[in-house]
Amino acid sequence: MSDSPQIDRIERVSRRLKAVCTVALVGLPVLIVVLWLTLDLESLGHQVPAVYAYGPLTPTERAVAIALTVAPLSVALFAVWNLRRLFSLYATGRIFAPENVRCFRNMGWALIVIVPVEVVYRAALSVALSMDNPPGERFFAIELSSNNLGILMIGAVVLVVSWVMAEAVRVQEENAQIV
Amino acid sequence: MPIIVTLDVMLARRKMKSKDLAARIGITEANLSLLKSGKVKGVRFETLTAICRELDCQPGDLLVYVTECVER
Repeated sequence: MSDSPQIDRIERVSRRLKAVCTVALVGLPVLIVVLWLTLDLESLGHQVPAVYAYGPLTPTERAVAIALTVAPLSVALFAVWNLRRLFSLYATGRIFAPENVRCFRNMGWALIVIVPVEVVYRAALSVALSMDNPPGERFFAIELSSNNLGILMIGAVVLVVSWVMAEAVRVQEENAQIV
Repeated sequence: MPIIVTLDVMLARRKMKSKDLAARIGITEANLSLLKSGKVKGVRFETLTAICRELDCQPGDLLVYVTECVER
């Protein structure tokens, strides 16, 4: 317990959020693999990214989709890993430390990088899932949406926050040298 | 640095050990050691007050300003 109720609250909530991130780190890959293995296009009415495939997904298509998902999933897990690390630091009362700055910076870059990775992933997915379609009905689709711009903006904001945190660490270290 | 900390001189005059002073004023021995050697960015008034109280002295007895030519 620290002397500050604010620090206590930060530590308490951060412990819970760290646990949530741990569940996400394990659950996300499992969920994605299970989804691709069990995805039934017909029952879902084609309301999923695999809209390019005609008929049920073949085992090969499912395997290729899982393999392609590794790229965006890796970036996402990297971001969640850094978020978990950040909450881990907050949970021990370390609010302004160089390691916190690294976490923010890594998350910012992950959010920025995941946008082009997602675009390439979805384009590759459109090709892979429509490969078995009849000629003339195969796809190469590049998807861009306002979501992409939103995530880019958030990534940029997080990056700027990392610079602000770096300055905060510098001020903290300077204050620590005042006795 | 133009400000010289003469805390060690005052400690010797009052025959007090650093660790005793540190305990009385509520700072760590390490921080007091840094203060004695002048390797700090600043001193809080609160700390200065506590030191003057325990050593029965004035701030001027602890901090000396020297000009550049004297340092050479």
